[in-house]
Amino acid sequence: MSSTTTNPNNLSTVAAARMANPFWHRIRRNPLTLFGLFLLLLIVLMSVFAPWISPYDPTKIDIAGRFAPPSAEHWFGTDEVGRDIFTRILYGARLSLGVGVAVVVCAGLIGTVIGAISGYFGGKPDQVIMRLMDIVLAFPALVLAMAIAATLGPNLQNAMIAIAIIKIPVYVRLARAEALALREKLYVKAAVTFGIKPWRIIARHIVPNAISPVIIQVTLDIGDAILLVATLGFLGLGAQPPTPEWGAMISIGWKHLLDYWWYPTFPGLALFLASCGFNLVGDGIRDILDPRENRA
Amino acid sequence: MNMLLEIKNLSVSFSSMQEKILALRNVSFSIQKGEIVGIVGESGSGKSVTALSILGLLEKNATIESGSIFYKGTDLITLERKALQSLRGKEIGMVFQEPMTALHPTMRIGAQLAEVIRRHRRVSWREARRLAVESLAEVHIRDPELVARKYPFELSGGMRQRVVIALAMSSPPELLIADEPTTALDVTIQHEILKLMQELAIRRGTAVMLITHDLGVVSQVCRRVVVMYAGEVVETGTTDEVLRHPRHPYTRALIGALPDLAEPGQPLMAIPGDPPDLRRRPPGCAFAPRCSRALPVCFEDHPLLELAAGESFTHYVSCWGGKPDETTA
Amino acid sequence: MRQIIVKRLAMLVLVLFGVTLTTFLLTHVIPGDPARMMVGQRASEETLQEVRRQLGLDQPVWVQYFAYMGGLVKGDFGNSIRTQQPVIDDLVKFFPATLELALAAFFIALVIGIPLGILAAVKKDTGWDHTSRFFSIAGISTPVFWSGLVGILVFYKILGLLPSSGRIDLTVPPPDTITGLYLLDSLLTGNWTAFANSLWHLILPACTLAFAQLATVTRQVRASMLEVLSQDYIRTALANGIHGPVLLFRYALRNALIPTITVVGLSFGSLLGGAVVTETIFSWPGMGKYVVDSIAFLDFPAIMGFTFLISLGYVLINLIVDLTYYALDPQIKE
Repeated sequence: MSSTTTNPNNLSTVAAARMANPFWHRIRRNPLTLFGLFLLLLIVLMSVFAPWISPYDPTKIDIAGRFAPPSAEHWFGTDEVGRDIFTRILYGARLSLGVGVAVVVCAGLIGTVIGAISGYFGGKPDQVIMRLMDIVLAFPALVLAMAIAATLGPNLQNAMIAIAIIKIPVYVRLARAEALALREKLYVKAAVTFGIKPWRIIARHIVPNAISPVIIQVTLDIGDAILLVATLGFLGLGAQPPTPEWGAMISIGWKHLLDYWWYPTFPGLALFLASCGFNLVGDGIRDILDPRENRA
Repeated sequence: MNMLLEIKNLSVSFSSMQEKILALRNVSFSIQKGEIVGIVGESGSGKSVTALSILGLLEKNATIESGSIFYKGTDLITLERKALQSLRGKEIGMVFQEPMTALHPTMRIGAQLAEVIRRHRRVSWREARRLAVESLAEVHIRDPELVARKYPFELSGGMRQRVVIALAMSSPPELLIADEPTTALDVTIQHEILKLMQELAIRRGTAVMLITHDLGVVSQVCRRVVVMYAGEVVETGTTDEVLRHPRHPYTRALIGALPDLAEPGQPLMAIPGDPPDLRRRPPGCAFAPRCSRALPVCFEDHPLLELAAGESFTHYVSCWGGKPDETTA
Repeated sequence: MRQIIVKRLAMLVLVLFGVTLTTFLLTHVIPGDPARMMVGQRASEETLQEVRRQLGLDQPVWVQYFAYMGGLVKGDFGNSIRTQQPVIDDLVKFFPATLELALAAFFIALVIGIPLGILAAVKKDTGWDHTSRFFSIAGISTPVFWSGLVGILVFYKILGLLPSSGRIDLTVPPPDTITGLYLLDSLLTGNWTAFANSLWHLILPACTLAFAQLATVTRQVRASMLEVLSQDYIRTALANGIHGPVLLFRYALRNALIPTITVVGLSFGSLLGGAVVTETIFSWPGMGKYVVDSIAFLDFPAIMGFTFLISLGYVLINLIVDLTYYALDPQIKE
């Protein structure tokens, strides 16, 4: 009875699929990640095809039709000057997505490079850089962003700079940890004795090894950056109205919550879904890339 | 009734992402009250799986395919969780292989012992702490009061294992399962720990299931022995008869591989080949590919565990060619 | 252990130095015209010159820095352009409201988050677990202002259960001030009307604020518990008959909480940031609302004073968290 339960020559198709492409299979196993991917796809499509999806002009004012509730003509209603909110959310997706990606990719690049160099060379400069990062991290994120944005002047560019500054230390630490670990590896030491220039070592060994945690961090950070930009916009420190930025829209809309509920609710929903999408996908990637998850 | 533990036709499998592995196949043996039985085999032979099955401590991906584990007449496999939980530690104790990680790192030794003692007996905290110190003394730990206040990281491996033994024996249990209790310890300490376990068991009348890969230990301490290979029982009997007159080629090879028995200047006898891949079990005897006396039938039909020919009523072997031949072991 | 404390205090000093330097740079060096930032657009030329002199803008930078530090130590952040009061007075006035909100949110996050995390760990890979995972991620993805607005929509507009703004009804006199925390003060003075009313007002904002931190706590507790439950010493305890609540709480949780504390400490930063937004939405009269009002006014001294104080608080909280961590782990104590 027992020897027939395992039949080694009869791999089921499922097992075969598992072994053929484990990466894709693991994504499929996790419905949450799939949902996240779906959300991301939705956002990207929205922002790319905005002009085709909606017939309205996001800046067109129509005072007579202001504060219209959701209807067949205006799916998400209109704002205080009659602009179609759904359209503005679509165009806002371009902004949020673009800003989020730009800020985090910049911060990621700068941070990784600084961290890799700092960790590799070590010594006093490394200590100084780490203290600097500690100081940036000593501030609560939003509070520091507010302070920087307020100092530089309230507009979208400065908000982006402020957020980029906050995000850099994480990447510095990540890359530095990789650099420290790899510095001791034998093949790196061998490369040094061969006379290979440091920048080559950093570029060819350290950075590629740091890619995997950095990618996870970037995905998660884009979600967070989108929220931060919107929060600054909501506080009046980021994109200024009439720019169709989701946070800026809510900064005006929230005062009308009780009378015209759709105005702040839908942009906020868009924010939530965008951020959720990135976080779910980032979380899913982390699960896949984390070796510990491979326990049966 | 002298029968304490009776394992009958136990089969256990593990499922991983790729496949299902049969780790135990029709394992059967028994342990009487108060006797010390050795379970011998190499890594992967299924010794630990058997032990964990008894207490229901298998991993989540393990399935008990068939068989029964009778403890004092009750089948532990069908027992409900609460009842099994009350058996653990109280009637059946267990000592694991790795003492360095076996104890709670942020609880003091005395507290860990007292907690377990209170689980088995209705005593106050103060009384439990007193008993804890006593049990430390029983496992020959010097300055038990001092040690009771320490944390595990302050103790050596040997001392930690003594504490683990004290924990397992605190009830005291009817059966102690010791899974390679000395393998991770220094050679000089191994002997002491074994002697300690033997002494405690005899004193309390506790039966011991001693899992080991060391035949020398078996010959010193165990009255009976069970030899396992590839998740199956291949031979069992009293230590005397199995070690002096081994019937199974694997047992013979194990004994032959002992350095003590080798002639000086002769090469050590190793068993050729590797243990089988449990994902692809052969239809016949699992040892056949490595057996120097394999017959064609060995590769086709699986032998049954039967009484070996001779006068003994306790010596069982699972082998087609297990009959005695001209060359006595 | 003492060595650790000394080392951490040294780090603290360094970090504080860095914080003051940063705020100094933001107030004196980076803005185009620091004096103008301090007095606002409407101030007269004389005031402008006076402030210029006070800030010592013609002095070398490090002299300015010491002057700035001197001011900080005295609690002098300048006067608010909007209220014309010393910023420090304003902040002190609004501090208790923020403290009460933050403490309530923190309490909710722990009291709900820890059990949820344990549940998720114990019921791993079941529906419970997936739900809690989604809930955790949703928590950190939700913009605080949006969840607050939705909360008001549902609980105030639709259900009519909770109020939408303020700490207490206008018709109910606040309790006598002992700590400044309405809940505590009303309890201490036996003022049940005030207690009930302020609790009623506190629920929605505190829950809104707690949401993100709750998600983080749940997630971390789940991960730590899973890690701990797979350890050998848990197996030893199981083999010796320990099970159920005793196993979960006395054996597993106390070790699982150690990394959780660190994460909770770090998440305080987002709590403080989130308080700014929450107070705005709920018109909660705390430091957060104060600074948002200041932003609209471009009230630079107020903004920077707030930044400095909040960051100081954050640094101190993290220090306490670090020290607690060391206190809990006996291996480091020795």
